Amino acid sequence: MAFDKIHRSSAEVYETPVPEKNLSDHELIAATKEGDETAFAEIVNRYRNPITNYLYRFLNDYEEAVDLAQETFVRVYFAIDRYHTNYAFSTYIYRIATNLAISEIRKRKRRTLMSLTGLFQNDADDNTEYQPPDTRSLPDADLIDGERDTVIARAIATLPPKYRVPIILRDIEGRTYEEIATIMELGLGTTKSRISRARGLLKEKLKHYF
Amino acid sequence: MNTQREIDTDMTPDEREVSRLLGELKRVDAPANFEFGVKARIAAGKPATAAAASGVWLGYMKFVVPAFLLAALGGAMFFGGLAGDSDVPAIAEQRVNPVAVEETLPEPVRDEASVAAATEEPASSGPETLPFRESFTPLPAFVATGPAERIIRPLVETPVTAAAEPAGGSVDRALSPAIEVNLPLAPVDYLKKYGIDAAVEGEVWRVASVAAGSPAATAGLKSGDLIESIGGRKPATNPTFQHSTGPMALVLRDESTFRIVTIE
Repeated sequence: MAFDKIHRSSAEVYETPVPEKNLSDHELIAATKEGDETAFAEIVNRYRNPITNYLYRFLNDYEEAVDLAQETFVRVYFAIDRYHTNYAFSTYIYRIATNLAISEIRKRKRRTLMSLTGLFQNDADDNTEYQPPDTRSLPDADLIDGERDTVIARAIATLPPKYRVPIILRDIEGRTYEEIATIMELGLGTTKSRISRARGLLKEKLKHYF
Repeated sequence: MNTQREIDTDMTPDEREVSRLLGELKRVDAPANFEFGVKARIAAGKPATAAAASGVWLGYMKFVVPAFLLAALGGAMFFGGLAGDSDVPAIAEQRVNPVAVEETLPEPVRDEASVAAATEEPASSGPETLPFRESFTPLPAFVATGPAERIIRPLVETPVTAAAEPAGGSVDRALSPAIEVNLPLAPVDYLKKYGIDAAVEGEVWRVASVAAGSPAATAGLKSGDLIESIGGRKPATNPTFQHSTGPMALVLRDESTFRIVTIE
């Protein structure tokens, strides 16, 4: 092991260094497997914003999203030997993030159901799981944009995970149908119909905004 | 990441509108210290969410709790065993008094004949030969004679004479096979135990033959092999060996090479 490291560091001295930014995802993974920390840092750099945004839209909670996004990269790091280049790295990391996020909302649901204090107090965030359509008349136009984002975010958060995952990946993250199908381990037809159904559900919830 | 957005062709106008609204949502970025947080967690070496941490804790408990229970059980048996030993004489004393034994015995079903026998016999034969003692306490007799017999039997061929003459007993012990087994073995005899017939030849042992089907044959030893050392000891040191049947490590030697063979 120690001998390996000596060998590699001497190799690094003689090779002309390639800037990490020019390497493909798979090359970065290979370098990370060899123990190259800067390669892993570049992976984090590439994917931290999309993963954080994805999880933020999924959970509608920025702190949680950052926490789980960091956890995603930790999982990637420790499971890097098990990653095979059969499919794109982005697919792989979105799948890890999705699994973490789904288990997180299951945990939340358990907490809500199981907590004794929850029986006696009525917290505002208890309502996030079910949002009835908002039928009030709209306020001034300049307020609409900020409020609209909040309402849309809440509406997304009320979707069941099996619709929430694909519609965020499609309409917010802009992934292809094929990639979403791979991330969710579903057929292409099922994925498409779920996205279509998710849009229909959101349209119902957001009908006052368009 | 949003650059490769393609237009879905088969959307209804409503769906297109929803898709547009979602696409226009403000994107959030990771905080500046994001990478630092990742590295800190990696340095910590394990998944850092609360659930994972409690999982690790439960994982430890899985081992700690049974270990504690086992230790408690072991302790209870140890002290219980001591208490049991100390109870034995107390019970034996109790049984001298037949009335007390009657009270502690669990089965009340007795016909009058045996009760009568039990109450009459002590009166006829005296307190030393209590019938209850004979019939219910074989244990003290067994304990008293058992160990003595066990010590004498394996060591001495003729126990009667040995028991009669304590001085002769020690001589018998020195010559008895039980002691002889513990004498250290010469290397050649030691090798024979593993099926190797060998003799010293200068600085090595030369293998004359290997018994078919022996552990040595299984390990690939052949006649003519040169053994450099047995368990690290060379012929020049005049080594002796204990009667172990564990693995034996041999260093075999050619003109130029050495190899190590372990024989189970």
